Amino acid sequence: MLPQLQPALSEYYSDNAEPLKTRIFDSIWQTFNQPNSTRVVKPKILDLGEAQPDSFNFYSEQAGYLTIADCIQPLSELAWPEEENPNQALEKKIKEIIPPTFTQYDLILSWDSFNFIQPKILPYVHNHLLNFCTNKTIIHGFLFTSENRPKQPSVFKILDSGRIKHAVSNDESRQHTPLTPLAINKYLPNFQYARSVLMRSGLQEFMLTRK
Amino acid sequence: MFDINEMKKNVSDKFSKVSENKFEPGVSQKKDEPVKTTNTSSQLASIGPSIHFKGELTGEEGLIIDGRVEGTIDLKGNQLIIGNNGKIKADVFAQTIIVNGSLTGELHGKERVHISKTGKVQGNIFSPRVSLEDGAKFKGSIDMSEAKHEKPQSNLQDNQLKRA
Repeated sequence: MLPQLQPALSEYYSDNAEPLKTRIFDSIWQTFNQPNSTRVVKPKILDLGEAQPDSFNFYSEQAGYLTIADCIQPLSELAWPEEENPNQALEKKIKEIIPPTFTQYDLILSWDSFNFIQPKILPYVHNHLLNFCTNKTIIHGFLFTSENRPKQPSVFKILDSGRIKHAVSNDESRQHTPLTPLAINKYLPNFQYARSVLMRSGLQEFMLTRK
Repeated sequence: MFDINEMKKNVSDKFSKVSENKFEPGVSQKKDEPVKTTNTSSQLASIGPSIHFKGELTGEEGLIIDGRVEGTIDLKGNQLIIGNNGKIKADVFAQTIIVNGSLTGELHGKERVHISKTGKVQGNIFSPRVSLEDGAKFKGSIDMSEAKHEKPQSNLQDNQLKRA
């Protein structure tokens, strides 16, 4: 009997892969750009991932204010604290990773990030993120929902509002218990699940809106 | 004997690569639109790798910093280049800011801020044009809309303005 073939993850590792056509990200942008939109035209964006030079042309034209939190790696390394008061210790560590600001954002980009944070730590991240939210803040995200996913968080580069290029820097993958956007939403109770779209090889694009 | 021309030539040779190579168009930059350098490196003043400066650094000419500076840097309408060895912990005000080394603080670039592939910036950037090369490290916020590129006046001057 032939061994069961794993999903072809190699397509993700190629920088030349066909760009993803994002329905949700595109529609979010259309909402921002509607002439009579109640939202601001140039949104304030909090990107939880690392700085991507390719995305800067897009941001410079479209975003009013951008924060690169570059927090996925340190958040993924966070373990449950062994201190006497773990809640307080965890809150302190998260504050150090994402320093509080006075800015409230219209859009939070969580691209291949929630998968890398321990589920029991997610509610604490959620609580901290609330400091950065208005009552209309949207979370836009990507999640790998197949059993295999890249070992490191993937890199996403914005080409334009409807197309995002996806590439990662290594060739390894690992098995994990996939969390769907709905499951993620349980850890983020002040947001409600709005939409998700299944893309290639188990990658899901999703949107959560503030309750 | 100290020879200023010889020193300028050395500085020019040393940073010629910086001024020629480091401003190659980055990925986020249009290829036909390289980062403009208003001065050649021989016209720029320099702070060498062994210099450690603390305080308020002001000037009305371009500057290359390859040493360590802590405090504030205000070059008004001139260019600032942080060399590969430069380590800055300061709020910076300049026309164009090019970072090849590491910088922690606020960057106010009246025209442009560019972080090269060896550059590492932690802080906030206020500039109408911001570009990063592949490999550049950045953590912080970027405000490309608001005009906060000039160094604020002192409190005394502020109060005088308010009274007026």
